Amino acid sequence: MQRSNDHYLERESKQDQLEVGRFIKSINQYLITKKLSQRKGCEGLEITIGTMTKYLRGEVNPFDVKTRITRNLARELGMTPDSLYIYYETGEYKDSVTIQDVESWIKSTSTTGDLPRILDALSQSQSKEKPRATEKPKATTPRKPSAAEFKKLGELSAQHFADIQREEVLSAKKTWQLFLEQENSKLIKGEHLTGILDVFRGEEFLTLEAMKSIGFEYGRCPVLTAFRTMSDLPIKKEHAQLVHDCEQYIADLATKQNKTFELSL
Amino acid sequence: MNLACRRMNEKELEKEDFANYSNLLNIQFVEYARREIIPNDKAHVRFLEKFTEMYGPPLGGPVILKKILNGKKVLPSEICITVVKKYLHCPLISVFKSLIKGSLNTELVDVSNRIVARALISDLTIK
Repeated sequence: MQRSNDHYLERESKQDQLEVGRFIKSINQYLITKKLSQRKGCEGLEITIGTMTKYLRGEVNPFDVKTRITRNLARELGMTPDSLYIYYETGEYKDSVTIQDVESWIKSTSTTGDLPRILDALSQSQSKEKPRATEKPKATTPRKPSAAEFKKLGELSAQHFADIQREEVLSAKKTWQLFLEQENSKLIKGEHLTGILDVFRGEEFLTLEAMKSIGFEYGRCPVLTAFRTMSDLPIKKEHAQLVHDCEQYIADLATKQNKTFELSL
Repeated sequence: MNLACRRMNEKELEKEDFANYSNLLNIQFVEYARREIIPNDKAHVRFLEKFTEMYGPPLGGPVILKKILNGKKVLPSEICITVVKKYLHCPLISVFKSLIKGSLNTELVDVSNRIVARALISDLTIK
C-alpha cells in the first residue's frame, strides 16, 4: 500500500514538473515571438512583474493560474485557452479546431475589434450555402445602463482603489503614484487623470458621458487596465458585471461611430 | 513702499476682491485634497485641526470656513478684515503653507498680499 502511494505521489510530482516546464515554455514563446522584455510582457498578461518572476522561476503550476491570465496568454499565443490547457497537460498543441473551440474563444477571448473579421468570415461561409428561408436577424443592441449604474460603477472603482491600498499595504498617495506609473496610465491626459482621481476621492460621479469620452479617447477603459497591472486583486463580481454592461454599451456606441473600444472583461 | 504701490493698497476692498480671493482659496483647497488623495470633507477636517492648533477656533465658526473652502460661500469681508488686523496676515494662507509641502498657487499668494495690505487700512466698510 505504502509503495503504491509513493508511486502515485512520484507520478504526480513528475506531471507537475512537466506542466510547470510547459508553462514556462509558453511564456518564453510569448516573450520571444512578441520581442518583449519580461516587464513589457506583464502588460499583455495583465500581471505584475513579481508574478511574472514567480512563473518563470517555476513556482506556480499553470492550472493554479487565474483563468484571466491563461486567457490572456492564450490570446497572445493565438490559440484558445482550452488548447493551452491541453498543451500543459500533454505537451502537444491540439491541431484540430472544433466548433466548441470557436465558441469558447468567442466567449472568452474575442474583443469588439475581432467582430468585423468574424462577421466577414461568417458571411463568406454563408454565401457558399444555398439561400434558406429569409429570416430577419434580430438586432442585438446592448441595454443602455442607467445613470445610477454608471454612478455605482464609479463608486465600485473607488472601492477597488481603496482595496488595492489595503492589499498592497500602501498609502493612498503611494497607490495613486503606482496607478500613474502603469504604462497604460502614462498615456492618460491630465484632465482625465483629474477626473479619475476625483471619482476615486468620492467627489465626482462617473457618468456615461465621462466614460464614453475617456473610452473613445483611449480605445478601452484605462482604469481597469491599470487596476490589473498594478495588483493581482480580483475585481468583485458586482463590479465586473457593471464593467461588462457599461463597456458593452460603449463598445456598441463606438462601433456605430466607426471607433474602436476594447472590452476589459 | 513707493507711491504707486501705496495708492494701489489704499484702494478700498470691493466685493469682487473677496469673491476672487474665495475662488482661489477653493482652488488651493481642492488641490490640497487631490494631492493627499482624500475626500474634501477629510481635507476640511485636517484644515480645521491645523487652523485651530495655530489660531484657535475660526472666527464665524467651522461651518462658514468649510463653505468658503468648498467654494460655496464668499469669505465675509468683516471676518477677513478683522482677522487680518488681528494677526497682520491671512491665517488661511498660513494654514495652507503648513499643510502643503512646496509652494502655494502664486496667484492666490499675490491676491492674499493685496487683500492683507488693503484690509490693514480698511475701516471695515464695504462698498
